[in-house]
Amino acid sequence: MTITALIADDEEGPREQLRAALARQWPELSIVAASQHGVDAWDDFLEYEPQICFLDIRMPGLTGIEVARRMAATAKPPQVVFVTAFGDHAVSAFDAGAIDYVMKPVDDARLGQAIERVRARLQTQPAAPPVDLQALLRQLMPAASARPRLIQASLGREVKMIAPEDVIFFESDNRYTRVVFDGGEALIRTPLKELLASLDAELFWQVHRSVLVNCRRIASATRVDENTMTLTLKGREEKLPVSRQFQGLFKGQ
Amino acid sequence: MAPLPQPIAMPSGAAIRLPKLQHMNSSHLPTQPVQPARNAFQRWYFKWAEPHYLRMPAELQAQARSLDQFLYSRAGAWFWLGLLMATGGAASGLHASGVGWLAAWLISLVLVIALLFVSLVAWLRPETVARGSGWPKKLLLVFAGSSFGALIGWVTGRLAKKGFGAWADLPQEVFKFAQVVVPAVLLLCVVLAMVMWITASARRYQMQQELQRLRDAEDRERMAREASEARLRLLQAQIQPHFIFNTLSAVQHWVDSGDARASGLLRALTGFLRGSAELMLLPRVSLAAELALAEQYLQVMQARWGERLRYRIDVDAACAAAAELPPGIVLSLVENALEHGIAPSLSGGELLLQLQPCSADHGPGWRLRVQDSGVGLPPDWQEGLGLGNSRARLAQAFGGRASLGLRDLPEGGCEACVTVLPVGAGETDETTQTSREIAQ
Repeated sequence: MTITALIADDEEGPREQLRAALARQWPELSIVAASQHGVDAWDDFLEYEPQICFLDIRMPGLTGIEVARRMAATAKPPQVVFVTAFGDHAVSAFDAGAIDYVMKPVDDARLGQAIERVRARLQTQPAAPPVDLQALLRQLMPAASARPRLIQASLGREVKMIAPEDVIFFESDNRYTRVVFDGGEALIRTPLKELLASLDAELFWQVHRSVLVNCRRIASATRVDENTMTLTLKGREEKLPVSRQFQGLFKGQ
Repeated sequence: MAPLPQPIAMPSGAAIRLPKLQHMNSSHLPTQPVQPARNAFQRWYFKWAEPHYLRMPAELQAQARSLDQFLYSRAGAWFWLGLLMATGGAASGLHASGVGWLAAWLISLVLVIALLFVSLVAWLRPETVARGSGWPKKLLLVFAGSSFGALIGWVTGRLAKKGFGAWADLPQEVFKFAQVVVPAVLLLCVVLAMVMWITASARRYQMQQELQRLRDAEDRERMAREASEARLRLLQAQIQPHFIFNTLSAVQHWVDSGDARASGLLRALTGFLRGSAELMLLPRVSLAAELALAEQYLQVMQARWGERLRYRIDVDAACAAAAELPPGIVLSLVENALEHGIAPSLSGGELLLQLQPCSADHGPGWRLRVQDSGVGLPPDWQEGLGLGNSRARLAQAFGGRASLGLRDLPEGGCEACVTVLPVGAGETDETTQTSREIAQ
């Protein structure tokens, strides 16, 4: 079975340098995505489900650490290797914890060591991340800045100002995002994947690659069969799908 | 000439035998008080005085200690001898003008002690004395006290001489006594007050001078330290490891893959590093040089970020060549715009670096804008250290003529604006007001 990987860096140089170094060190590795920022990386991860993710830390949208946290909460968390430049405050924390990282510009020998470790862990499946990984990553994340930005949705001639907490769910719809809120629904041009970077991750749960739902509006989750799960919302008819990756969010207590 | 006072702490033999030790003591530990090897009297005295010292204010304690150490040492003996001779001289003078020996000695002793006491108080507490609150009251007290003392003395003397008789002569004798004593006591009071006043003023002046000197030295040292710290910070900020290694990573890749962009990026990086190393060490640089450095930085970042970064430079060349400023300020504004404005934006953004003269008729004032079309200021934004530091350095260089502000742009993004008004423009209001007043 081919092992798949994702590379994420907002700069072309380091991204391609890493790609070249990986090609030398691990020719069989198939790089399925080279993402240009954190939001892309998250979206590409959901689409391709790579087993290994090489994440830059400073990226627009979502930082590498934020992306890693989201990944760690999914059904099949990947092996994460951070790619960082000297001077990132996170490095000391990586040294202390069980987190793999390589420094930019990527050095073949150091990358080789990281690859060895990742390979070893991939062989002892299931590769559950260390228990404290979530906590460690949370610690590394900058204090969540208040992001009370209103959502501006055009409805005919008027622009509707919607507070994020009034939204019931967002659904990606082609090039638009459908916003369903208390007073109705609207289409906005911001893609869903960009939207999720500016929303409170505790409030809006991603349950599907194309669905973000306000967790306070969820009435129940129903398992339909082995792979299918649906959400029922409070006071609404429609049912939302929960993709396999996120079914772990609803496991009962 | 009295022999130089020997520090009793150091027996003279030791000083000769161990000249190096003494030298080290005086040069390396100048403030260390010398622990005196005391004789029995000194030991008794200082044991007695210790609790008294402890009750004094700290600055007085040190003075009192050193004074006592002097007075009760070998050198102090010369002082006491001088005092004795002064008293003797005064007494013989009085005796020569017809006062009995005993009275003459008593009077001179009182005089000398009063003078000493007054000088001592004035020396130790110049602030209290020279501030001069309650002088009339104190003078009156001294006057009353000395008059009363003199009266007691006279009455005692009369009793001893004449017993309880001769009442008839009393009023006349009192009158005669008062004629002599009142002017004498008045004179004494005035002399004492003057001595006290002069000592206190001289001492106070000396202390103020000393204080001023210390403050000046401290100010100079602080400014020098701040300047060098600021330069160090700047240098560190320029050569952020994050910046260097990310750039090197791109260079590495482009060299490996034979990409032609490597050459340009390496050239821009070299220019930027050389420029910052040179400029950051100068106290002032020309605005043109600073702008050139900022442009090299932008070239590096543009090579790294590609289409994510677009920039435009719109500079009035004459204005840039004429103006000067502390180094690193323009560069740090550009870095901030890139790091906090454009880097977090998913689609990248555009940066505009614009320099304009303030107004043509006022000489070389200028306004520099750094605009970016990035994510703008976060809602809970607070001014950071970097901006405050830049502002402080501008203020140091230009006083009230310089200002530095940061604001969100209505069309999105953020603008930093440095304005340095021409010389004289800051005081325009005052000058016009003054000339108007003169005209009136």
